[in-house]
Amino acid sequence: MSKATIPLKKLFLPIILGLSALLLVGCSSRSIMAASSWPGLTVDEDIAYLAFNEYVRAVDLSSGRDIWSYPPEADDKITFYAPPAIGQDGIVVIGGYNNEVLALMPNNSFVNVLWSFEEATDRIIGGPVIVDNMVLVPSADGRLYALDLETGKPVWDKPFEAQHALWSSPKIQDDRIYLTSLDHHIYALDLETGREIWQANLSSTISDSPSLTEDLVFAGTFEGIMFALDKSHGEIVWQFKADGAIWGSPVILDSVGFFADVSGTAYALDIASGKELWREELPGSSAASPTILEDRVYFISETGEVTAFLLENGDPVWPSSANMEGRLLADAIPTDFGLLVPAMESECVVFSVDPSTGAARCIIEPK
Amino acid sequence: MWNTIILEPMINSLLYIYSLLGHNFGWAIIIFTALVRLITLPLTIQQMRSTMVMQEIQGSDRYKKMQEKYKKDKQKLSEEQMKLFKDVGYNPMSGCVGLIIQFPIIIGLYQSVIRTLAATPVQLFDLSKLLYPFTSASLIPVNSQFLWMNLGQPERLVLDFLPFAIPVLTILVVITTYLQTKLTTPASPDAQSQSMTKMMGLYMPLLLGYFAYSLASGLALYFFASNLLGILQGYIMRRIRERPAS
Repeated sequence: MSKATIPLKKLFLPIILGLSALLLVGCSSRSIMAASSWPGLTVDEDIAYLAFNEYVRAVDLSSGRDIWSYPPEADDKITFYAPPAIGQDGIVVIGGYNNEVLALMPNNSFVNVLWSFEEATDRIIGGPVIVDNMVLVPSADGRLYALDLETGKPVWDKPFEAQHALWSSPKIQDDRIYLTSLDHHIYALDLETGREIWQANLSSTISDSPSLTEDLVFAGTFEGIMFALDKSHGEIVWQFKADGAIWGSPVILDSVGFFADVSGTAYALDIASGKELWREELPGSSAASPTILEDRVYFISETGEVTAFLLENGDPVWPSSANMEGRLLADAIPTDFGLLVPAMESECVVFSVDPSTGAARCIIEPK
Repeated sequence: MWNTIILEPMINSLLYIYSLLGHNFGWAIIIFTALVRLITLPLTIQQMRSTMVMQEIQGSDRYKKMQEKYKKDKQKLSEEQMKLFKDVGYNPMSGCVGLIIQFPIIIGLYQSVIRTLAATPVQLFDLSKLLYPFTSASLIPVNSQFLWMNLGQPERLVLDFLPFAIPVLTILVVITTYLQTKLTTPASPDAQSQSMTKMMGLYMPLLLGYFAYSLASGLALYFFASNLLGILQGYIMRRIRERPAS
């Protein structure tokens, strides 16, 4: 017995140190050493383009099978979360957490890399946007890069530079770019030159893209305020205080804007005045923008539920929420295959929710 | 439970200090580490005192004699050791209590630094749920630039005249961890304790050095600040111990 105690004691210190190391980094190291975010999903007809962890995949939604995936061999140092941008001739532009932008040209199950852009100095978190023959790429280095879609060469004299990271996709309307940044500002830029037309300080971080109508631009902040700004000059038209931080962009239909906050409350506002029309409690926090289909608005809760309300009065549609395993933080996308809901920390990467019944099934499994 | 008791108070305190220091997160980490060290100072002193008493016992003739006498009978040796501890009024668990209480605080301190830096969308979203209503959301995201470092990224110093980058903070963490271990764990007459001390002196700098090299430099800064304060504490305790009784 005495012989056994000596080696155990010798092992005691390394074991304690090892356990301490695990406890120290257990909860957080993954997010530092390997990038961590929710899946980036884009749908073009019946093909889903999914950026998640080490792969970007094109998945046939009718069969759930991969058409192609990139890179051919996973490299755990290179991860992808930004929703891919799809061009008219099938070109797919992706951005990685290795700061690199790639243009891919799929050919059946093979993928050719047309060009790569490596001048960004931080991760590509927000999805690139294709406008005509140009692709706009927001980067966490605070710059918005405008690249030629065919060559990947910069189009503007110099990229637009915000004071902090760009984590969301820009929105384009009438030759203008509307862009939000973690630097608390919303910017309007000239599409042709990238020069700033106006900027507005909203005093708090804006995580998601702005929403646009003909006259107004909307953005929700970390401080829990939904702002409506005049599109011409960026002046604040009205502001509405929500119960919690706002992450997802509002969705506008006719004269009503819908959004949810981190406290788990869904709102419908009159977009002309900012007046609250109705509010409903959700099962959990919400980071996603809502989705509108016919006469219903669908809200995604982090805790795994999709909840549907009638647009008109906010009455719940289903007796209880559809419930999915995992964390739901990304926007849902309406398709012919149901409402596609990306998930993380789940056995399923994308769920399909039947918009009429709320029934959920896994449509894309992890690779 | 963990969030409510440990993380939320720490993150909100860290942000409060950050707001007072003109949005300098590097200094906020250093000041916050110093405050936490100050709050847990009684526990540290208790733990150090316990180590010193244990060393005095291990250096006593009675202890050495019983080691020799019962070296082949571990059970009897253990019984005699417990008798000795009882006779001199020493509780062998007294040093552990301080460590057990400090451990979650150290873990919480580390996690609060990393979570407040919020380098990814998921971390930023999670942070939004940990803020108290009176903590200004306008402080987010924190300014992660400190000296030449981005506190959310591993640190490397790039000098024009060198073809490679130098992990300055990693080197400092390794050196200060080694010094702290040396200072706070004085030489023991007991062979087994000496072996443990030697292993600790080897493993701890390597382990923390690895973390400092591969994880966010905000964490490395916390290790460095914590080590410096630990060295200072150890030095003061040693001086007090060595001071002749008046």
